[in-house]
Amino acid sequence: MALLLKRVAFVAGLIVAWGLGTHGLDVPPYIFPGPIDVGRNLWANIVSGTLPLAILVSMKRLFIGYGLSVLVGIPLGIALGRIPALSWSVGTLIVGLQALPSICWLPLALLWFGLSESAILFVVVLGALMSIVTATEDAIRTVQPNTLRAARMMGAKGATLYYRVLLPAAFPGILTGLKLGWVFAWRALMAGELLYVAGGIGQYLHTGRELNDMAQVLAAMVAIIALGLAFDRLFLGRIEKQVRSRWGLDRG
Amino acid sequence: MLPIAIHSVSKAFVSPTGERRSVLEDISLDVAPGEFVCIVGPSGSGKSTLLNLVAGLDAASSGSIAVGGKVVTRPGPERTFMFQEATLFPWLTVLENVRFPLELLGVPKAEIAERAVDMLRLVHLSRFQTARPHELSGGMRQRVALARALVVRPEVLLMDEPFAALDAQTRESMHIEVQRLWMEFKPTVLFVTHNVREAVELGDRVAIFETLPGKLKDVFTVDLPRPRDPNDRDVNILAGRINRALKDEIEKVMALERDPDKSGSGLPPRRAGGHI
Repeated sequence: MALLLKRVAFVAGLIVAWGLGTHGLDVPPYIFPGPIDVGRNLWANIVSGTLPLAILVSMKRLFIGYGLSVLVGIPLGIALGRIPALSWSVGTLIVGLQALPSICWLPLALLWFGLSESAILFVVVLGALMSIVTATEDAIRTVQPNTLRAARMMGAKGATLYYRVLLPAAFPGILTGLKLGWVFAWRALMAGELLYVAGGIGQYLHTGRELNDMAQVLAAMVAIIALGLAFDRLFLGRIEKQVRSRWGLDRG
Repeated sequence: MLPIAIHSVSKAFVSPTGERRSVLEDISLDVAPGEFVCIVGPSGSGKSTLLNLVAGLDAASSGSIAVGGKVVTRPGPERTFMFQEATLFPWLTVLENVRFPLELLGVPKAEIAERAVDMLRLVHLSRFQTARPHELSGGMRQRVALARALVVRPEVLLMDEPFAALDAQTRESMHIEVQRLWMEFKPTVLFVTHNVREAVELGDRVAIFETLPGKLKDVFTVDLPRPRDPNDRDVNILAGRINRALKDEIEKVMALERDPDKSGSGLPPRRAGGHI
Protein backbone atom coordinates (compact mmCIF):
# COMPACT_ATOMS: atom_id res chain seq x y z
CA MET A 1 0.00 0.00 0.00
CA ALA A 2 2.81 2.36 0.94
CA LEU A 3 4.47 1.43 -2.35
CA LEU A 4 1.30 2.24 -4.28
CA LEU A 5 1.13 5.62 -2.57
CA LYS A 6 4.73 6.32 -3.50
CA ARG A 7 4.01 5.39 -7.11
CA VAL A 8 0.96 7.64 -7.25
CA ALA A 9 2.97 10.46 -5.69
CA PHE A 10 5.70 9.95 -8.27
CA VAL A 11 3.27 10.12 -11.19
CA ALA A 12 1.58 13.17 -9.67
CA GLY A 13 5.00 14.80 -9.33
CA LEU A 14 5.72 14.09 -12.98
CA ILE A 15 2.43 15.69 -14.04
CA VAL A 16 3.12 18.77 -11.91
CA ALA A 17 6.61 19.09 -13.37
CA TRP A 18 5.17 18.73 -16.86
CA GLY A 19 2.61 21.44 -16.14
CA LEU A 20 5.14 23.79 -14.58
CA GLY A 21 7.58 23.13 -17.43
CA THR A 22 5.17 23.83 -20.29
CA HIS A 23 3.65 26.78 -18.46
CA GLY A 24 6.86 28.27 -17.14
CA LEU A 25 8.73 27.99 -20.41
CA ASP A 26 5.69 29.26 -22.29
CA VAL A 27 5.65 26.36 -24.72
CA PRO A 28 2.76 26.86 -27.16
CA PRO A 29 0.16 24.04 -26.93
CA TYR A 30 0.55 23.15 -30.63
CA ILE A 31 4.18 22.21 -29.88
CA PHE A 32 3.75 20.52 -26.52
CA PRO A 33 0.47 20.89 -24.66
CA GLY A 34 0.35 20.90 -20.88
CA PRO A 35 -1.39 18.33 -18.70
CA ILE A 36 -4.55 20.42 -18.42
CA ASP A 37 -5.12 20.47 -22.19
CA VAL A 38 -4.40 16.76 -22.42
CA GLY A 39 -6.64 16.01 -19.46
CA ARG A 40 -9.44 18.02 -21.02
CA ASN A 41 -9.13 16.10 -24.28
CA LEU A 42 -9.04 12.77 -22.44
CA TRP A 43 -12.10 13.67 -20.41
CA ALA A 44 -14.10 14.89 -23.40
CA ASN A 45 -13.32 11.77 -25.40
CA ILE A 46 -14.05 9.46 -22.51
CA VAL A 47 -17.42 11.13 -21.94
CA SER A 48 -18.31 11.08 -25.63
CA GLY A 49 -17.39 7.37 -25.78
CA THR A 50 -14.80 7.82 -28.53
CA LEU A 51 -11.84 6.74 -26.43
CA PRO A 52 -13.50 3.76 -24.70
CA LEU A 53 -14.64 2.50 -28.10
CA ALA A 54 -11.17 2.95 -29.56
CA ILE A 55 -9.67 1.08 -26.60
CA LEU A 56 -12.20 -1.69 -27.02
CA VAL A 57 -11.41 -2.10 -30.73
CA SER A 58 -7.66 -2.17 -30.08
CA MET A 59 -7.96 -4.53 -27.12
CA LYS A 60 -10.03 -6.97 -29.12
CA ARG A 61 -7.37 -7.09 -31.83
CA LEU A 62 -4.63 -7.37 -29.28
CA PHE A 63 -6.23 -10.24 -27.39
CA ILE A 64 -7.09 -12.23 -30.50
CA GLY A 65 -3.69 -11.67 -32.10
CA TYR A 66 -1.75 -12.25 -28.92
CA GLY A 67 -3.85 -15.28 -28.02
CA LEU A 68 -3.13 -16.83 -31.41
CA SER A 69 0.59 -16.27 -31.08
CA VAL A 70 0.60 -17.83 -27.61
CA LEU A 71 -1.32 -20.86 -28.90
CA VAL A 72 1.07 -21.32 -31.80
CA GLY A 73 4.26 -20.01 -30.19
CA ILE A 74 4.52 -22.19 -27.10
CA PRO A 75 4.11 -25.57 -28.86
CA LEU A 76 6.40 -24.41 -31.66
CA GLY A 77 9.02 -23.26 -29.15
CA ILE A 78 8.87 -26.59 -27.33
CA ALA A 79 9.31 -28.47 -30.59
CA LEU A 80 12.29 -26.30 -31.50
CA GLY A 81 13.83 -26.86 -28.08
CA ARG A 82 13.53 -30.63 -28.28
CA ILE A 83 14.15 -31.42 -31.95
CA PRO A 84 17.63 -30.43 -33.16
CA ALA A 85 16.67 -30.68 -36.84
CA LEU A 86 13.99 -28.05 -36.30
CA SER A 87 16.29 -25.86 -34.27
CA TRP A 88 18.88 -25.27 -36.96
CA SER A 89 16.32 -24.92 -39.74
CA VAL A 90 13.12 -23.25 -38.52
CA GLY A 91 14.94 -21.83 -35.50
CA THR A 92 17.36 -19.87 -37.66
CA LEU A 93 14.49 -18.54 -39.74
CA ILE A 94 12.69 -17.39 -36.60
CA VAL A 95 15.73 -15.59 -35.21
CA GLY A 96 16.03 -13.85 -38.57
CA LEU A 97 12.37 -12.89 -38.60
CA GLN A 98 12.70 -11.56 -35.08
CA ALA A 99 15.00 -8.86 -36.39
CA LEU A 100 12.30 -7.78 -38.84
CA PRO A 101 9.72 -5.40 -37.35
CA SER A 102 6.44 -7.11 -38.05
CA ILE A 103 4.94 -3.91 -39.47
CA CYS A 104 7.09 -4.58 -42.55
CA TRP A 105 4.59 -7.31 -43.34
CA LEU A 106 1.71 -4.83 -43.61
CA PRO A 107 1.93 -4.23 -47.38
CA LEU A 108 1.84 -7.97 -48.04
CA ALA A 109 -0.85 -8.51 -45.42
CA LEU A 110 -3.03 -5.84 -47.06
CA LEU A 111 -2.49 -7.51 -50.41
CA TRP A 112 -3.39 -10.96 -49.10
CA PHE A 113 -6.20 -10.13 -46.71
CA GLY A 114 -7.41 -6.76 -48.04
CA LEU A 115 -8.33 -3.90 -45.72
CA SER A 116 -9.65 -6.28 -43.10
CA GLU A 117 -9.19 -7.25 -39.48
CA SER A 118 -7.23 -10.27 -40.69
CA ALA A 119 -4.50 -8.07 -42.13
CA ILE A 120 -3.88 -6.29 -38.86
CA LEU A 121 -4.17 -9.52 -36.85
CA PHE A 122 -1.54 -11.04 -39.10
CA VAL A 123 0.86 -8.23 -38.24
CA VAL A 124 0.11 -8.53 -34.52
CA VAL A 125 0.60 -12.32 -34.52
CA LEU A 126 3.92 -12.04 -36.30
CA GLY A 127 4.96 -9.33 -33.87
CA ALA A 128 4.43 -11.45 -30.78
CA LEU A 129 5.12 -14.91 -32.16
CA MET A 130 8.88 -14.72 -32.65
CA SER A 131 9.78 -13.67 -29.15
CA ILE A 132 7.43 -16.24 -27.64
CA VAL A 133 8.94 -19.00 -29.78
CA THR A 134 12.57 -18.06 -29.09
CA ALA A 135 12.03 -17.62 -25.35
CA THR A 136 10.18 -20.94 -25.11
CA GLU A 137 12.85 -22.74 -27.11
CA ASP A 138 15.54 -21.29 -24.91
CA ALA A 139 13.69 -22.11 -21.70
CA ILE A 140 13.14 -25.72 -22.77
CA ARG A 141 16.74 -26.14 -23.85
CA THR A 142 18.17 -24.76 -20.62
CA VAL A 143 16.20 -27.04 -18.30
CA GLN A 144 18.84 -28.60 -16.02
CA PRO A 145 19.96 -31.97 -17.45
CA ASN A 146 19.78 -33.49 -13.97
CA THR A 147 16.17 -32.38 -13.60
CA LEU A 148 15.41 -34.45 -16.68
CA ARG A 149 17.50 -37.37 -15.50
CA ALA A 150 15.76 -37.35 -12.13
CA ALA A 151 12.40 -37.25 -13.89
CA ARG A 152 13.34 -40.15 -16.13
CA MET A 153 14.57 -42.18 -13.16
CA MET A 154 11.16 -41.68 -11.56
CA GLY A 155 9.54 -43.02 -14.71
CA ALA A 156 8.45 -39.80 -16.43
CA LYS A 157 8.28 -40.21 -20.19
CA GLY A 158 6.25 -39.15 -23.20
CA ALA A 159 3.43 -36.70 -22.52
CA THR A 160 3.94 -36.95 -18.75
CA LEU A 161 7.53 -35.80 -19.09
CA TYR A 162 6.41 -32.74 -21.05
CA TYR A 163 3.40 -31.86 -19.03
CA ARG A 164 4.64 -32.56 -15.53
CA VAL A 165 8.34 -31.76 -15.80
CA LEU A 166 9.54 -29.92 -18.90
CA LEU A 167 6.78 -27.32 -19.04
CA PRO A 168 6.84 -26.36 -15.36
CA ALA A 169 10.64 -26.38 -15.34
CA ALA A 170 10.70 -24.04 -18.34
CA PHE A 171 7.77 -21.92 -17.19
CA PRO A 172 9.68 -18.92 -15.79
CA GLY A 173 11.55 -18.59 -19.10
CA ILE A 174 8.37 -19.01 -21.13
CA LEU A 175 6.75 -16.28 -19.06
CA THR A 176 9.54 -13.88 -20.00
CA GLY A 177 8.73 -14.64 -23.63
CA LEU A 178 5.03 -14.02 -23.00
CA LYS A 179 5.81 -10.62 -21.51
CA LEU A 180 8.05 -9.69 -24.40
CA GLY A 181 5.47 -10.99 -26.85
CA TRP A 182 2.83 -8.77 -25.27
CA VAL A 183 5.00 -5.70 -25.75
CA PHE A 184 5.74 -6.60 -29.36
CA ALA A 185 2.08 -7.30 -30.09
CA TRP A 186 1.17 -3.87 -28.71
CA ARG A 187 3.78 -2.16 -30.85
CA ALA A 188 2.77 -4.02 -33.97
CA LEU A 189 -0.84 -3.12 -33.35
CA MET A 190 -0.14 0.59 -32.85
CA ALA A 191 2.03 0.73 -35.96
CA GLY A 192 -0.66 -1.07 -37.92
CA GLU A 193 -3.46 1.18 -36.72
CA LEU A 194 -1.42 4.33 -37.34
CA LEU A 195 -0.68 3.30 -40.89
CA TYR A 196 -3.94 1.79 -41.85
CA VAL A 197 -6.58 3.66 -39.87
CA ALA A 198 -9.56 1.56 -38.96
CA GLY A 199 -10.64 2.35 -35.44
CA GLY A 200 -8.59 1.71 -32.36
CA ILE A 201 -6.30 3.88 -30.28
CA GLY A 202 -3.86 4.15 -33.17
CA GLN A 203 -6.48 5.88 -35.21
CA TYR A 204 -7.38 8.13 -32.31
CA LEU A 205 -3.75 9.23 -32.25
CA HIS A 206 -3.66 9.57 -36.01
CA THR A 207 -6.75 11.79 -36.01
CA GLY A 208 -5.02 14.05 -33.52
CA ARG A 209 -2.10 14.32 -35.87
CA GLU A 210 -4.28 15.16 -38.87
CA LEU A 211 -6.09 17.88 -36.92
CA ASN A 212 -2.78 19.16 -35.59
CA ASP A 213 -4.27 18.57 -32.15
CA MET A 214 -1.22 17.67 -30.09
CA ALA A 215 -3.37 17.42 -26.97
CA GLN A 216 -5.14 14.46 -28.56
CA VAL A 217 -1.86 12.89 -29.67
CA LEU A 218 -0.55 13.10 -26.13
CA ALA A 219 -3.88 11.90 -24.73
CA ALA A 220 -3.60 8.79 -26.91
CA MET A 221 -0.04 8.27 -25.75
CA VAL A 222 -1.06 8.59 -22.11
CA ALA A 223 -3.88 6.10 -22.67
CA ILE A 224 -1.49 3.60 -24.27
CA ILE A 225 1.00 3.94 -21.43
CA ALA A 226 -1.75 3.56 -18.82
CA LEU A 227 -3.11 0.44 -20.52
CA GLY A 228 0.31 -1.15 -20.78
CA LEU A 229 1.04 -0.42 -17.15
CA ALA A 230 -2.34 -1.71 -16.03
CA PHE A 231 -1.93 -4.95 -17.95
CA ASP A 232 1.49 -5.53 -16.47
CA ARG A 233 0.42 -4.73 -12.90
CA LEU A 234 -2.82 -6.66 -13.02
CA PHE A 235 -1.85 -9.61 -15.14
CA LEU A 236 1.52 -10.64 -16.56
CA GLY A 237 3.64 -8.83 -13.99
CA ARG A 238 1.59 -10.30 -11.19
CA ILE A 239 1.91 -13.84 -12.52
CA GLU A 240 5.63 -13.36 -13.00
CA LYS A 241 6.07 -12.17 -9.45
CA GLN A 242 4.21 -15.19 -8.13
CA VAL A 243 6.16 -17.60 -10.28
CA ARG A 244 9.48 -16.06 -9.28
CA SER A 245 8.76 -16.37 -5.61
CA ARG A 246 7.31 -19.86 -5.94
CA TRP A 247 10.19 -21.17 -8.06
CA GLY A 248 12.64 -19.52 -5.67
CA LEU A 249 14.18 -17.22 -8.27
CA ASP A 250 14.07 -14.03 -6.23
CA ARG A 251 16.92 -14.63 -3.84
CA GLY A 252 20.17 -12.73 -4.10
CA MET B 1 16.10 -57.07 -2.55
CA LEU B 2 17.76 -57.53 -5.89
CA PRO B 3 21.43 -58.15 -6.66
CA ILE B 4 23.39 -56.15 -9.23
CA ALA B 5 25.60 -58.05 -11.63
CA ILE B 6 28.06 -55.97 -13.62
CA HIS B 7 29.82 -58.13 -16.14
CA SER B 8 32.92 -56.93 -18.06
CA VAL B 9 31.38 -53.56 -18.83
CA SER B 10 33.23 -51.03 -20.98
CA LYS B 11 32.14 -47.60 -22.00
CA ALA B 12 33.70 -45.26 -24.54
CA PHE B 13 32.51 -41.85 -25.63
CA VAL B 14 33.12 -40.33 -29.01
CA SER B 15 34.15 -36.70 -28.67
CA PRO B 16 32.79 -34.03 -31.05
CA THR B 17 36.11 -34.22 -32.92
CA GLY B 18 35.47 -37.89 -33.61
CA GLU B 19 38.05 -39.11 -31.10
CA ARG B 20 37.13 -42.25 -29.18
CA ARG B 21 37.82 -42.03 -25.50
CA SER B 22 37.60 -44.99 -23.21
CA VAL B 23 36.04 -44.15 -19.85
CA LEU B 24 35.42 -47.57 -18.34
CA GLU B 25 37.32 -50.72 -19.17
CA ASP B 26 36.23 -54.22 -18.36
CA ILE B 27 34.48 -53.65 -15.05
CA SER B 28 33.05 -56.67 -13.28
CA LEU B 29 31.41 -56.28 -9.92
CA ASP B 30 28.72 -58.25 -8.14
CA VAL B 31 26.64 -56.58 -5.47
CA ALA B 32 24.66 -58.89 -3.22
CA PRO B 33 20.99 -58.21 -2.38
CA GLY B 34 20.81 -55.57 0.33
CA GLU B 35 24.53 -54.92 0.20
CA PHE B 36 25.98 -51.38 0.47
CA VAL B 37 28.90 -50.97 -1.93
CA CYS B 38 30.84 -47.73 -2.23
CA ILE B 39 32.90 -46.82 -5.26
CA VAL B 40 35.87 -44.52 -4.69
CA GLY B 41 38.18 -43.16 -7.33
CA PRO B 42 39.70 -39.95 -8.56
CA SER B 43 38.24 -37.81 -11.33
CA GLY B 44 38.07 -39.55 -14.66
CA SER B 45 37.72 -43.01 -13.19
CA GLY B 46 34.26 -43.35 -14.71
CA LYS B 47 32.52 -44.12 -11.43
CA SER B 48 29.58 -41.82 -12.17
CA THR B 49 29.41 -43.23 -15.68
CA LEU B 50 29.07 -46.72 -14.21
CA LEU B 51 26.24 -45.51 -12.00
CA ASN B 52 24.46 -44.05 -15.03
CA LEU B 53 24.78 -47.38 -16.80
CA VAL B 54 23.25 -49.26 -13.85
CA ALA B 55 20.52 -46.61 -13.76
CA GLY B 56 19.75 -47.26 -17.42
CA LEU B 57 20.27 -43.60 -18.32
CA ASP B 58 23.08 -44.57 -20.66
CA ALA B 59 24.10 -47.75 -22.47
CA ALA B 60 27.37 -49.66 -22.10
CA SER B 61 29.62 -50.02 -25.14
CA SER B 62 30.14 -53.67 -24.27
CA GLY B 63 29.43 -56.06 -21.44
CA SER B 64 26.19 -56.37 -19.51
CA ILE B 65 24.51 -55.14 -16.37
CA ALA B 66 21.70 -57.04 -14.74
CA VAL B 67 19.57 -56.14 -11.76
CA GLY B 68 17.81 -59.12 -10.24
CA GLY B 69 18.77 -61.20 -13.27
CA LYS B 70 17.12 -58.77 -15.68
CA VAL B 71 19.38 -56.95 -18.11
CA VAL B 72 19.22 -53.17 -17.67
CA THR B 73 18.27 -51.24 -20.80
CA ARG B 74 16.33 -48.30 -19.36
CA PRO B 75 15.34 -46.73 -16.05
CA GLY B 76 12.96 -48.87 -14.02
CA PRO B 77 10.87 -48.38 -10.90
CA GLU B 78 12.96 -50.88 -8.90
CA ARG B 79 15.97 -48.52 -9.16
CA THR B 80 16.10 -44.98 -7.81
CA PHE B 81 18.82 -42.39 -8.12
CA MET B 82 20.14 -39.66 -5.86
CA PHE B 83 22.28 -36.92 -7.38
CA GLN B 84 24.86 -34.54 -5.98
CA GLU B 85 22.30 -31.74 -6.21
CA ALA B 86 18.92 -32.55 -4.76
CA THR B 87 17.23 -32.12 -8.20
CA LEU B 88 13.94 -31.41 -6.44
CA PHE B 89 11.32 -29.70 -8.55
CA PRO B 90 11.12 -26.04 -7.51
CA TRP B 91 7.50 -25.68 -8.58
CA LEU B 92 6.35 -28.35 -6.12
CA THR B 93 6.23 -28.29 -2.34
CA VAL B 94 8.34 -30.70 -0.30
CA LEU B 95 5.40 -33.07 0.09
CA GLU B 96 4.47 -32.87 -3.59
CA ASN B 97 8.06 -33.69 -4.51
CA VAL B 98 7.93 -36.85 -2.42
CA ARG B 99 4.51 -37.76 -3.83
CA PHE B 100 5.69 -37.29 -7.40
CA PRO B 101 7.29 -40.72 -8.06
CA LEU B 102 4.33 -42.48 -6.41
CA GLU B 103 1.92 -40.60 -8.66
CA LEU B 104 3.88 -41.63 -11.75
CA LEU B 105 3.76 -45.24 -10.59
CA GLY B 106 -0.03 -45.04 -10.32
CA VAL B 107 -0.17 -45.83 -6.61
CA PRO B 108 -3.73 -45.34 -5.22
CA LYS B 109 -4.33 -41.82 -3.90
CA ALA B 110 -4.98 -42.66 -0.26
CA GLU B 111 -1.84 -44.75 -0.16
CA ILE B 112 0.24 -41.99 -1.76
CA ALA B 113 -0.74 -39.51 0.92
CA GLU B 114 0.06 -41.94 3.70
CA ARG B 115 3.38 -43.13 2.32
CA ALA B 116 4.67 -39.66 1.46
CA VAL B 117 3.84 -38.26 4.89
CA ASP B 118 5.36 -41.30 6.63
CA MET B 119 8.51 -40.98 4.58
CA LEU B 120 8.89 -37.29 5.43
CA ARG B 121 8.52 -38.17 9.08
CA LEU B 122 11.35 -40.70 8.72
CA VAL B 123 13.70 -37.98 7.47
CA HIS B 124 12.46 -35.58 10.18
CA LEU B 125 10.86 -33.10 7.80
CA SER B 126 7.18 -33.44 8.72
CA ARG B 127 7.07 -29.79 9.62
CA PHE B 128 8.23 -28.75 6.16
CA GLN B 129 5.58 -30.46 4.01
CA THR B 130 4.32 -27.23 2.51
CA ALA B 131 7.73 -25.56 2.19
CA ARG B 132 9.30 -24.99 -1.21
CA PRO B 133 12.69 -26.57 -1.91
CA HIS B 134 14.41 -23.17 -2.10
CA GLU B 135 13.31 -22.42 1.43
CA LEU B 136 15.31 -25.37 2.79
CA SER B 137 19.01 -25.72 3.59
CA GLY B 138 21.23 -27.91 1.42
CA GLY B 139 21.13 -30.75 3.93
CA MET B 140 17.36 -30.60 4.23
CA ARG B 141 17.03 -30.65 0.47
CA GLN B 142 19.14 -33.79 0.29
CA ARG B 143 16.96 -35.36 2.96
CA VAL B 144 13.90 -34.63 0.81
CA ALA B 145 15.74 -36.16 -2.14
CA LEU B 146 16.49 -39.22 0.00
CA ALA B 147 12.83 -39.43 0.99
CA ARG B 148 11.82 -39.15 -2.66
CA ALA B 149 14.25 -41.92 -3.57
CA LEU B 150 13.10 -44.27 -0.79
CA VAL B 151 9.35 -43.63 -0.86
CA VAL B 152 8.87 -46.02 -3.78
CA ARG B 153 10.65 -48.72 -1.71
CA PRO B 154 13.28 -49.34 -4.34
CA GLU B 155 15.20 -52.58 -4.62
CA VAL B 156 18.30 -50.68 -5.68
CA LEU B 157 19.40 -47.20 -4.62
CA LEU B 158 22.07 -45.49 -6.72
CA MET B 159 23.80 -42.52 -5.13
CA ASP B 160 26.14 -40.23 -7.05
CA GLU B 161 28.20 -38.22 -4.54
CA PRO B 162 25.00 -37.18 -2.79
CA PHE B 163 26.71 -35.37 0.09
CA ALA B 164 29.70 -33.88 -1.70
CA ALA B 165 28.22 -30.39 -1.76
CA LEU B 166 27.33 -30.31 1.93
CA ASP B 167 29.38 -28.86 4.78
CA ALA B 168 31.21 -31.31 7.06
CA GLN B 169 28.71 -31.22 9.93
CA THR B 170 25.67 -31.67 7.71
CA ARG B 171 27.44 -34.49 5.90
CA GLU B 172 28.05 -36.27 9.21
CA SER B 173 24.39 -36.07 10.13
CA MET B 174 23.44 -37.33 6.67
CA HIS B 175 25.72 -40.33 7.17
CA ILE B 176 23.90 -41.23 10.36
CA GLU B 177 20.59 -40.76 8.56
CA VAL B 178 21.59 -42.93 5.63
CA GLN B 179 22.87 -45.73 7.84
CA ARG B 180 19.64 -45.71 9.81
CA LEU B 181 17.39 -45.67 6.74
CA TRP B 182 19.43 -48.28 4.94
CA MET B 183 19.13 -50.61 7.93
CA GLU B 184 15.39 -49.99 7.92
CA PHE B 185 14.73 -50.47 4.17
CA LYS B 186 17.78 -52.56 3.24
CA PRO B 187 17.95 -51.65 -0.45
CA THR B 188 20.97 -52.72 -2.47
CA VAL B 189 23.12 -49.56 -2.63
CA LEU B 190 25.77 -48.43 -5.05
CA PHE B 191 27.31 -45.26 -3.65
CA VAL B 192 29.85 -43.20 -5.58
CA THR B 193 32.10 -40.81 -3.67
CA HIS B 194 35.46 -39.04 -3.60
CA ASN B 195 35.56 -39.30 0.15
CA VAL B 196 37.32 -42.44 1.38
CA ARG B 197 36.28 -42.05 5.00
CA GLU B 198 32.65 -41.64 3.92
CA ALA B 199 32.96 -44.86 1.92
CA VAL B 200 34.37 -46.79 4.87
CA GLU B 201 31.77 -45.39 7.21
CA LEU B 202 28.86 -46.41 5.00
CA GLY B 203 29.87 -49.40 2.91
CA ASP B 204 29.93 -53.15 3.36
CA ARG B 205 32.59 -53.09 0.69
CA VAL B 206 34.59 -50.32 -0.94
CA ALA B 207 35.59 -50.66 -4.58
CA ILE B 208 38.60 -48.64 -5.74
CA PHE B 209 38.72 -47.39 -9.30
CA GLU B 210 41.79 -46.56 -11.34
CA THR B 211 41.64 -43.63 -13.65
CA LEU B 212 42.25 -42.92 -17.33
CA PRO B 213 40.65 -45.19 -18.26
CA GLY B 214 38.46 -46.30 -15.37
CA LYS B 215 39.23 -49.80 -14.15
CA LEU B 216 38.39 -51.69 -11.01
CA LYS B 217 41.61 -51.79 -9.02
CA ASP B 218 40.70 -53.42 -5.75
CA VAL B 219 37.79 -54.17 -3.45
CA PHE B 220 38.07 -53.80 0.33
CA THR B 221 35.65 -55.42 2.73
CA VAL B 222 34.61 -53.29 5.68
CA ASP B 223 34.06 -55.75 8.48
CA LEU B 224 33.06 -53.28 11.20
CA PRO B 225 29.91 -53.13 13.34
CA ARG B 226 27.20 -50.57 12.57
CA PRO B 227 26.35 -47.81 13.16
CA ARG B 228 29.86 -46.60 12.52
CA ASP B 229 31.55 -43.52 13.86
CA PRO B 230 33.82 -41.60 11.48
CA ASN B 231 36.26 -41.03 14.36
CA ASP B 232 36.45 -44.72 15.17
CA ARG B 233 40.02 -46.09 15.13
CA ASP B 234 39.28 -49.04 12.83
CA VAL B 235 37.43 -46.84 10.36
CA ASN B 236 40.46 -44.58 10.12
CA ILE B 237 42.95 -47.42 9.81
CA LEU B 238 41.03 -48.91 6.90
CA ALA B 239 40.56 -45.47 5.31
CA GLY B 240 44.32 -44.99 5.54
CA ARG B 241 44.95 -48.29 3.75
CA ILE B 242 42.51 -47.37 1.00
CA ASN B 243 44.05 -43.94 0.65
CA ARG B 244 47.48 -45.50 0.13
CA ALA B 245 46.03 -47.75 -2.55
CA LEU B 246 44.50 -44.71 -4.24
CA LYS B 247 47.63 -42.57 -4.00
CA ASP B 248 49.09 -43.49 -7.39
CA GLU B 249 45.79 -42.83 -9.10
CA ILE B 250 45.35 -39.44 -7.49
CA GLU B 251 48.88 -38.50 -8.50
CA LYS B 252 48.09 -39.48 -12.06
CA VAL B 253 45.23 -36.97 -12.07
CA MET B 254 47.24 -34.28 -10.29
CA ALA B 255 50.07 -34.56 -12.80
CA LEU B 256 47.57 -34.15 -15.57
CA GLU B 257 46.01 -31.08 -13.97
CA ARG B 258 49.47 -29.54 -13.69
CA ASP B 259 50.34 -30.20 -17.30
CA PRO B 260 47.44 -31.38 -19.43
CA ASP B 261 49.58 -31.32 -22.60
CA LYS B 262 51.88 -34.08 -21.41
CA SER B 263 49.35 -36.83 -21.44
CA GLY B 264 47.93 -37.69 -24.81
CA SER B 265 44.37 -38.30 -23.76
CA GLY B 266 43.61 -35.80 -21.03
CA LEU B 267 40.66 -35.94 -18.70
CA PRO B 268 37.44 -36.92 -20.33
CA PRO B 269 34.79 -34.22 -20.15
CA ARG B 270 32.51 -34.63 -17.17
CA ARG B 271 29.07 -35.93 -18.06
CA ALA B 272 30.35 -36.66 -21.53
CA GLY B 273 27.54 -37.83 -23.74
CA GLY B 274 25.05 -37.30 -20.95
CA HIS B 275 22.27 -37.07 -23.44
CA ILE B 276 18.67 -37.27 -22.33
